[in-house]
Amino acid sequence: MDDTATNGATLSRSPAGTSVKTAISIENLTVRYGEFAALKNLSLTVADGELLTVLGPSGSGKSTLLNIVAGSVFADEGRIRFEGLDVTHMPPHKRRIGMVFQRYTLFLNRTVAENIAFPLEIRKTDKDIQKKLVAEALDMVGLTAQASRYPSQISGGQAQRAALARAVVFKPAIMLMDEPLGALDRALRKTLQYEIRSLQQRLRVPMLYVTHDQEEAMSLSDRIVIVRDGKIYADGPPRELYRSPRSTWGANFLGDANCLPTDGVLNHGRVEVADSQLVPVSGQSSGSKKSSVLVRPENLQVSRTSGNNAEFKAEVEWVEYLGPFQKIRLKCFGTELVAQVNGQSGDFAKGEHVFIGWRGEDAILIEQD
Amino acid sequence: MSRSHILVRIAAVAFVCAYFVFLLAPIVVMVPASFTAHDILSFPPDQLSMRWYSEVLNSREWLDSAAMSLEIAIVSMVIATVTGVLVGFVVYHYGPLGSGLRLLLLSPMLVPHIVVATGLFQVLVPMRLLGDPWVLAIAQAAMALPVTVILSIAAFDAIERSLWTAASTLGARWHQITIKVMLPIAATSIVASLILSFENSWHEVTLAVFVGPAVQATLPSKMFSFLLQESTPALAAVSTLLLVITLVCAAILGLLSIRRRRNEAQPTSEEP
Repeated sequence: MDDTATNGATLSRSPAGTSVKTAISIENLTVRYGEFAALKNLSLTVADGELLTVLGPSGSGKSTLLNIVAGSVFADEGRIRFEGLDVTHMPPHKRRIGMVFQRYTLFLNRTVAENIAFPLEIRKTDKDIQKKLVAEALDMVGLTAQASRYPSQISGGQAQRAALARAVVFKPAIMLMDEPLGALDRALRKTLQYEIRSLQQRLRVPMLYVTHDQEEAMSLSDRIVIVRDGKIYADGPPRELYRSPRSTWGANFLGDANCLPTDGVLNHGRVEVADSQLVPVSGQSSGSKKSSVLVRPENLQVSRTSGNNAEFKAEVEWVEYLGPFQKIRLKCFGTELVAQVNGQSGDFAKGEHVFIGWRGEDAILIEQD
Repeated sequence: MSRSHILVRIAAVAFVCAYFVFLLAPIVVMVPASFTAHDILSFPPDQLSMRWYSEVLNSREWLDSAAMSLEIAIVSMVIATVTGVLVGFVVYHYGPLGSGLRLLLLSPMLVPHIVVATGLFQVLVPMRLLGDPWVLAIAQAAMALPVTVILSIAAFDAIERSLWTAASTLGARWHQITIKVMLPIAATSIVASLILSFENSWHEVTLAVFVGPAVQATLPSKMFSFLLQESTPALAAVSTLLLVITLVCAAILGLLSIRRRRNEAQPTSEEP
């Protein structure tokens, strides 16, 4: 998957078949902090109008990547191009980027409207046009009523909306989001996620969005790039990354996963796992001794009676009831498995003996790290 | 509350009261004494008059001294504050100062003025710089550095690190960020720093007496030599005028701290 990105093609094909420009192309980027390499020969492209999320655990190098694109950190090796133009050594103020940060970065001595006007003021935009653009931006993020308030007089959610308005008011060529919702509570995060996404689609501005929240990444993105230890671990649309992760690490990182180690030798649609049990799986033999059967919790079926897709004996260890669904931790094949079943279906009790199983097409073989 | 507790409390209150009486008594005596009509300092004055104020305000000598003090105080204030702000920028961009550098910047607070004054005296004599107003201004600025540096570091440390990057991505160049973003945010601390370093020089005696201009001395230095020769109520009048200036400075500082509390808060986390 890394290879397609490395080519850094200036033209790629959108799903609709029309050709789209590459907004950002990062080629063979390496950044070192002393001995430690934060990014190792990383290549990546963002298509025009695309919302690309860079997802990774803390310390994976995702913030460094964003800072490189912003121009506040410079690369040791590699190039960055915006729409073909080499910006590797260009200072941030010339890059035409709209950036929103995790921490509050409004200017505390300016009102919301004055904050939004700042980039226009710097560009010496005509006063009347400034007023019009600021009013539009305020309206876009729903802060018209708060225009003359100071940052100390608004809430955290409003502050991030104002920061968003300030970042788009000068019509930047690209947008960078550095965990913009990190400081907000869950319910607010959901609303703002939706607003950011619809704003991005309305403006059709390419957006590079960094987060460590996989749910946020899944719900927002056209495409997700998972960064691990300074390298791209996986690159693809959310569905693809969730359904066919490259390895057990990725399966666990993006959602919950049941991974059963196996030798990967397929026989009549089954592989052997612990306790010499033969479990169903789709696809072909992996050809690697270090493989795992991946079954997502929502595909694991739990039943009181043995049946077609409930053939293995298991013991309920813990039930976590979450309303719309419940998570059941089970002991089976000498390990712990998680099943996610409908909240309305039968209530299982701790210690109960049940049968579990899954359809062959719901399990795949993946590499084990 | 136990009995010993109450006793400790009473002792503490008594100590604080005594402390303030001791501090304020000279002022209580000096101000009324300045309004006397007589030729000698007397308290309480039996006859009120503005005689000594008009004497001081019409005296070439006092006014020249005041002008000299003012010039030196302004130069000293600018040097100390600008240096403080520059240190603030360094801390903002590169993190906390090393302990050696910090100690160096704060050392004027630890070294007695008289030690600095005698040391400077011995250095300045062979250089023929004794009595140079510029030298005095620089020396007083150095003595004010601990205050301006501490104020400035506190102000710049409180500024969010990504604010610079934010302003920069919005199109601002370094000088625009400095003038339009950083300095306005640090403004209260900078003004406080200006006032305190001005005050520091304005009422500084030791350095002024030892290495300051002799003929046209600064006001505190002139008051000191005046006091050695004669003690007319003119001295009380000058003291009262100095006191008024100090009170004005203190009032500005007080107002600043109110403004600061109101305007420099981050957005709240709760939603309305």
